[in-house]
Amino acid sequence: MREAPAELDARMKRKNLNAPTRTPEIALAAPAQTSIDSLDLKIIDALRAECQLSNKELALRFRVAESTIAGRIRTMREKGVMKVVAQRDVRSLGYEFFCLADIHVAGRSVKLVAADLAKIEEITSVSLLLGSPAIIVQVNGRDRKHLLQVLEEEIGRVRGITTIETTLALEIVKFDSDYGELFSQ
Amino acid sequence: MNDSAKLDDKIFELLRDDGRISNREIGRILNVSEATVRNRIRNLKESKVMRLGIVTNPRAMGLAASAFVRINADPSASRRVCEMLALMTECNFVALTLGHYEIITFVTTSSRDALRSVIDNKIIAMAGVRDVDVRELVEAVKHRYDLVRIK
Repeated sequence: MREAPAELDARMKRKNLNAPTRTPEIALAAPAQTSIDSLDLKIIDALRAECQLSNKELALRFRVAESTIAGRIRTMREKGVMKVVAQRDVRSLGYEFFCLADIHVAGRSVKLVAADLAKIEEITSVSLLLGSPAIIVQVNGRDRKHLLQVLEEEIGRVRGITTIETTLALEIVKFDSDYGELFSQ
Repeated sequence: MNDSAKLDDKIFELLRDDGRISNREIGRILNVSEATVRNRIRNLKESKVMRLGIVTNPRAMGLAASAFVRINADPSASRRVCEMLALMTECNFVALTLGHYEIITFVTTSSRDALRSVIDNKIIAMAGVRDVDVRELVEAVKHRYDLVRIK
């Protein structure tokens, strides 16, 4: 069932009134917030292959001014379209255990529960779902004891959670690191 | 923490904010030579502690629908199913899990129709898959894309 875009838009706006500060204003069925053109896409593809290619090199390749490249990269970055970043392996921080936790919520706004969960350092992602569980989080732990401690003492303390159901990853077969919910600046 | 670990952390933080900052600029900010910065970065990359890459916003790239898909599979087929899922570009994350389901994957597609098609025609159709549980994502509140797993 699909809602009319206008209604969805209005609903998203209302929802965002009390949203946590870093919540992206992205609606699932709404069009992408920013339109990107073919030059943007070419830049993205080139950076995917080699993220530190200089603006000069990109300008030569696509036959545009260096300032155009610099401007495009800056705009895409500011609008949260793409970003070149350093990423760190979680295991280098001592996190060996990884689990997903289904969070069932009642008696308190899902947004508020999600905002509280987002503050927990060991939680690397918080996703809102349709239905119940209302939230899925990714939890990292140094060892079993630490993981349990995060679940019981950090997550368990958040008001509005009725049930936490965990699924422990035995082996991570694939982990793409080139996508991310970038928050526009 | 020793000095070189502290320096590594500072270099990482600068590159996390902007992966296109030059070694010379990093050296100037941290008051070390460009060669030192270059060596530390090479070391961090070679030891697979850090990687530099582009991160794109799926919504801006026209990927508007995603879901966590949990799979009940024949235990003897679980690993093969995982390997097949890992080959699919729509699956960003694949893990063997402990619990009611044997496998969990995160699927991202251009639309809900495409999502349904991937689940119905590719995942459910795989030999060894017995049941799937689909949870559609409506919003990401937090995503630490700076914390990853480097092969």
